[in-house]
Amino acid sequence: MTWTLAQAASEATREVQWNTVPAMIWLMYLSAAAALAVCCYGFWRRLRIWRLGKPEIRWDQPWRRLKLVFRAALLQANLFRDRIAGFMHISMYFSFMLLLVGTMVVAIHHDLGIPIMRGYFYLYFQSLVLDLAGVWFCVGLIIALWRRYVIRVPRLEHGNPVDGLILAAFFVIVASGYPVEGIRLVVTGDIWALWSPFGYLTGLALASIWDEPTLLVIHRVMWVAHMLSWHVLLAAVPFTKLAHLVTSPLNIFFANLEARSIPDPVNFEDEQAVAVLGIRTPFEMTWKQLMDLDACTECGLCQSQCPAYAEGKPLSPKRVILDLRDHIRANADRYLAAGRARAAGQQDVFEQIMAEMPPLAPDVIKAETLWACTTCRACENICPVEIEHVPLILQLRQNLAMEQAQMPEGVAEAVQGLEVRQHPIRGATTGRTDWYRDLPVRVMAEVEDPEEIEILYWVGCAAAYDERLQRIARALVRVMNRAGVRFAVLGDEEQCTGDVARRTGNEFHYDMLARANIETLQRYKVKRIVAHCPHCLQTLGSDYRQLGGFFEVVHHTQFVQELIDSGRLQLPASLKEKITYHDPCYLGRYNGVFDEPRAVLDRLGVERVEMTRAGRRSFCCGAGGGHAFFEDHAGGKINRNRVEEAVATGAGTICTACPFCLQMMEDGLRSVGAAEQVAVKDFVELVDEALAAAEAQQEPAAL
Amino acid sequence: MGLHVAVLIKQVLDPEVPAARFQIDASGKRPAAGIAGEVLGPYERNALEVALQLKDAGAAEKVSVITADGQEAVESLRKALAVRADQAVLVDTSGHDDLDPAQTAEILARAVEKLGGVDLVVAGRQAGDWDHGQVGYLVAERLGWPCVSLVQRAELDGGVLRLTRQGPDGREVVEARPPLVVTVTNDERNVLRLPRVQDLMASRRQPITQWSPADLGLDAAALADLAGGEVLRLRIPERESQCEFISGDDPAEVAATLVRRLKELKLL
Amino acid sequence: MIVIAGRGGQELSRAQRELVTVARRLAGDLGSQVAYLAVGPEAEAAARRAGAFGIGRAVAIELNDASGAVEPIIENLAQGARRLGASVVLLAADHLGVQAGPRLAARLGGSALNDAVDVRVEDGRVIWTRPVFGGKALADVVLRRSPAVVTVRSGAFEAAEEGAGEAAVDVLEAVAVDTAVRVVQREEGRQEGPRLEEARVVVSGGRGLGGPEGFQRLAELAELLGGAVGASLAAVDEGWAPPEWQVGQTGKMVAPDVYFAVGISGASQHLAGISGAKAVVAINKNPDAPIFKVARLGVVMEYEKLLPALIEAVKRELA
Ligand SMILES: Cc1cc2nc3c(=O)[nH]c(=O)nc-3n(C[C@H](O)[C@H](O)[C@H](O)COP(=O)(O)OP(=O)(O)OC[C@H]3O[C@@H](n4cnc5c(N)ncnc54)[C@H](O)[C@@H]3O)c2cc1C
Ligand code: SF4
Ligand code: SF4
Repeated sequence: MTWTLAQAASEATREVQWNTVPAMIWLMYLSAAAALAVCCYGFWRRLRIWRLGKPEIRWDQPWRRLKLVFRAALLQANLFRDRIAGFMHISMYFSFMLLLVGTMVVAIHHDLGIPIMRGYFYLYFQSLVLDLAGVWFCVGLIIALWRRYVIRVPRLEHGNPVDGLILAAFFVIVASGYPVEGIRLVVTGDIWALWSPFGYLTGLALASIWDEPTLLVIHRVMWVAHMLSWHVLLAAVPFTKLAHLVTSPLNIFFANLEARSIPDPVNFEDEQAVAVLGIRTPFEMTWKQLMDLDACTECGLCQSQCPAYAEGKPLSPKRVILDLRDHIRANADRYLAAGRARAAGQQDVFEQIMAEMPPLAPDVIKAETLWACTTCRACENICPVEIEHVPLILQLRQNLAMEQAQMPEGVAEAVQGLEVRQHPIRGATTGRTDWYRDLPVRVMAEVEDPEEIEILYWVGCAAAYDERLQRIARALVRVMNRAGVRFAVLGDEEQCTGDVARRTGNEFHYDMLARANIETLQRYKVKRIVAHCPHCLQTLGSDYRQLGGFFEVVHHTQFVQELIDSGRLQLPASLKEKITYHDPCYLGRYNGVFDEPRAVLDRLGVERVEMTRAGRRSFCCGAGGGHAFFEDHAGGKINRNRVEEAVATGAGTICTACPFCLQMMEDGLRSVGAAEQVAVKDFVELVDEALAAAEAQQEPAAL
Repeated sequence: MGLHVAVLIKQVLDPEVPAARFQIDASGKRPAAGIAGEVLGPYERNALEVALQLKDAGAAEKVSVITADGQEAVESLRKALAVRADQAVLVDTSGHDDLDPAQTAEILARAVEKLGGVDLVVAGRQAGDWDHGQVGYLVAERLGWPCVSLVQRAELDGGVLRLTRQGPDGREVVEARPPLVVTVTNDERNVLRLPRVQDLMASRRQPITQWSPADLGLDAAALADLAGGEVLRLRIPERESQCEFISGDDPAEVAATLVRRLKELKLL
Repeated sequence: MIVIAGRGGQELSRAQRELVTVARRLAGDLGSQVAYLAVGPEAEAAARRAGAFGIGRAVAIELNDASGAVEPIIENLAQGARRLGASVVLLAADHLGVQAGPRLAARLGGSALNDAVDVRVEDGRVIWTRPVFGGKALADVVLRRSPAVVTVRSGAFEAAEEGAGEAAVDVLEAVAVDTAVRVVQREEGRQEGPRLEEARVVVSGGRGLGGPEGFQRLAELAELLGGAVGASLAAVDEGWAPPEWQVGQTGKMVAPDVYFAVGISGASQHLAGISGAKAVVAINKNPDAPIFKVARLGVVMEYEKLLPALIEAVKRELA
């Protein structure tokens, strides 16, 4: 008996086209072919648009890239960035994939005549697993509907009405699949019916209402509905957000493995390259930037993290991506025609067509939107499909700033400052080197043997010219001197790194400053640099590489940690304050430094409390992207938002590790009226304080 | 036919040099070298913008910029070209140091004449270094043209210039016919536009017309004789940074003391 | 002959009375005479009034020019100065002085100088002092040609007190000037006051004002002093003041003689905008506010108490 059953089980299968008439089968093949054709056509159109873009190599290190895709697509690793949505997506994604495999199994079994749909495989996978997968899909579907229509998650707003139709089509597929299966199980008296429990239950339920002839009719109707809704969805894939089934893995494969969030450099010597500056039309985007637009899943995670959006400013990174995408889709024919003309060498035709197309900024993406971005990288950090918003925004800014000469007044002033004073600080009351007059600081130009200098201290403009921020530089100098570090500064030879210029789209000025600084650093054969400013760290350490300046740059938090590790600096655990640490965007998300400042603070003996948004998810102070230099009056204040969070931790001191963050925090505290209760200090000011206190204690003991 | 507008510009020591950094050189008559960079003077920027707006509106056909200075001023002439001035003229006065306003005005007036066909001369109300506030007016006198001062904006309306200017009590609109000299003061509408980077790059290759005072018929002796005055010495005013607190609990009394002190300090 | 030039009227304005001080000093040191020249409506009245300041000679040119242009004034000033044989012509460095000084000098074949803040005579040479480089330096200057046409910055000298006396007034016929310049439209009154960047007095308010009403008080004071109202970024952000009023790193740079900082803490970004101010008067309730570090005069008091009293005191002063 057991044996026969086992034997029978190993033979288990089902009739594939039960209760169909040839017309239905024909309809199936025809509509499948049509759907496939439409689907391919749709992707082909996308592909043609991507091919309008500029070249860019994004296929080096293929194994590493495949691993990324695997992690993202099969493990859905990127989706744990939001729990409930992640679960919803995983449910729908995996069950959908399983059902897709099931469909393919049927095709292989029936159409190719390779009998794989049988035996235990049939029972466990094709029957049981797929039956459950359908239910799992329903669970995901319900969560999706719930989020979109009942609780109306804000990041999903502005959704396309078509999104609802997609969910409806999915619903039809599931709602017709179970009756089709159930009726067959019941009517044929399939002995393996229990292997498809939900299908069988559906069949039994239907059979309790209708008689067999009716069931057969219902079966046929459902069969056609199931099949057709499938094909409609298939055809719709490239035209709806479902396209991400294809574009997301592609986009992840072609992700940027290099330094993120910085635009490609512009070669100002090359006349061709400067004919259009930044991005004016899709033709200045790379193919990958065009692909990014199609890869967006519209999940809105980026928007949910964006500080500008959070404060009601006219910027949503998701909308930037989608507005560009929609504009390009709506004008695809013209762009494609222009592309053809260009490829055929008909420059005049190309120009004639393009003359009618508006510049993407400010016509498609408004100037206020672009200027609202603080370049904090929160959007890129969270995007599950590795879309790069920041370089795109910056290159659109480049076109505004350099080609259209449009920028906020404060930015213009800062850039003019760079031009004539090599620093962007307006109304500076001191010179660049005044802050260290009374301190033992060596200047590179006066050092006889540059080899003897172990590290160059890059001061940066903020701390050189702002009285409050000078205290950071003075503290770091004292700490380094205590540790016996042989360091020097460039003094008057230091120019602004060009960070402000670059992040505001003023690449021309950035280029000039960067080249001058690289030349100076190379002249002194500088190998290693310490900076207390994360913006200098990023620019010197990463951006300059694009221009051939390779320097090892460490942040002062890393350097102090290093001094401790090597025993050159002993920290007393004497700071008994309650402190919360604010991760600067350019230190954390840009340069991955999260642990060192915390480890050093812990060593100082502080009671460290974390804000809700910390580490990778840290919330911007509002100063980046040039915002330290102009006032963005739209919406609320980002620094206020952040300071409220910091104050809520109950900490008596906010520790920052960036001069601009420090300014923003102090300003924020004043605006929430907490400046008396809560202090803001740079990391190294705390270190210096602790060291000074310890010395003061030791001295009387020594007497 | 549109107007030919000549803008008189000056490159000046960066007016934003911090007071604490300001030093005087060994001669005692000039700022020390190297305390700050040089920039196109602030009111000249406004003047240039007024001219460019006339060109934008189609009223001006040509905008020429002229400066009398050393070769270093080419920098500022290029800035003007970068915002699309059509022609730049440097009257190279190297070797004739410390020109005073009377000398500068004579040179510039002759340059305007040599340029030929100029209908409108636009100058800043005062240069941002020595703050003389004379050159534009003296050029007008020298050319014998009428002068409208403290202009903020200019439009051409059927051959008549409509000039919005700062009047004694608020704005006023003045009508005048070219030829004319105007001096310009700043206003939110005449902030100098920013150059497009492509124009900035192109300006580096554009030619600069170079004349010498001799080309304008002025030899060294004639030029020296034109000087209206002489700077004997510069000095740095003492800055009292001590805050004097006015104490007391009675507001009326404190207010009275405050007003008295302000008067004593010649601040009111 | 030291000539004080003015536009006529029943009274000598404060600026004119300051010129009297300058003229007296020069006349004493040079052993010359002081004369008064009035060009404009009510010229004769002003010329007579000058007598009360010990001025013996005056020329009045009754000019009622409808064009509003400055040309006729300059031409008639030149006529008067010639008649008086001026060696020095003094004008107030005001709206008229700024435009008339250099041109008058050119017409008289003299030398011009603007914004004098001091004058002395050394070895028979008149040495004028004027601020240069935005006030970062003072220049001592001698003028080569005669007459010296000098505009004098207001507030630099004491205003002379009125006494008694009579001036011999010559009334001259105005020369007619045909000018191509014509004022066609005038904004009535001083609704806006001077612009922030140019104002000699700026009264700025910060978050300490606690609401928009505070700014009305500031406006009142500013109007009395002929100044402009400014604001800190905080006040602009609160919506109590329009963005154009903002002073500081991301706002306007101002360079008044007096800058009143009312309820402003003195953040460096704010101070960045007022480094050109000659003197800062800080009114703040917190004695440790950093604004006092840059202030010349400070009052530690709630502004609500001080301002009404201050407005009264200024009104009394002006009366
Ligand atoms: C990048 C950047 C750019 C900036 N640019 C500018 C700028 O251009 N301009 C600018 O102003 N700020 C600027 N700021 C903001 C600056 O840091 C300060 O936050 C701001 O100037 C504070 O304004 P406040 O002094 O009015 O307010 P607060 O600092 O809050 O000071 C209010 C003061 O009022 C006093 N006060 C309270 N009540 C009274 C009362 N009843 N009577 C008298 N005094 C009272 C208090 O003691 C306090 O000193 C900038 C900040 C940053 C970070
Ligand atoms: S970089 Fe930051 S501010 Fe800019 S769009 Fe992204 S999240 Fe928003
Ligand atoms: S850009 Fe990325 S994070 Fe933003 S909506 Fe699209 S897929 Fe989501």
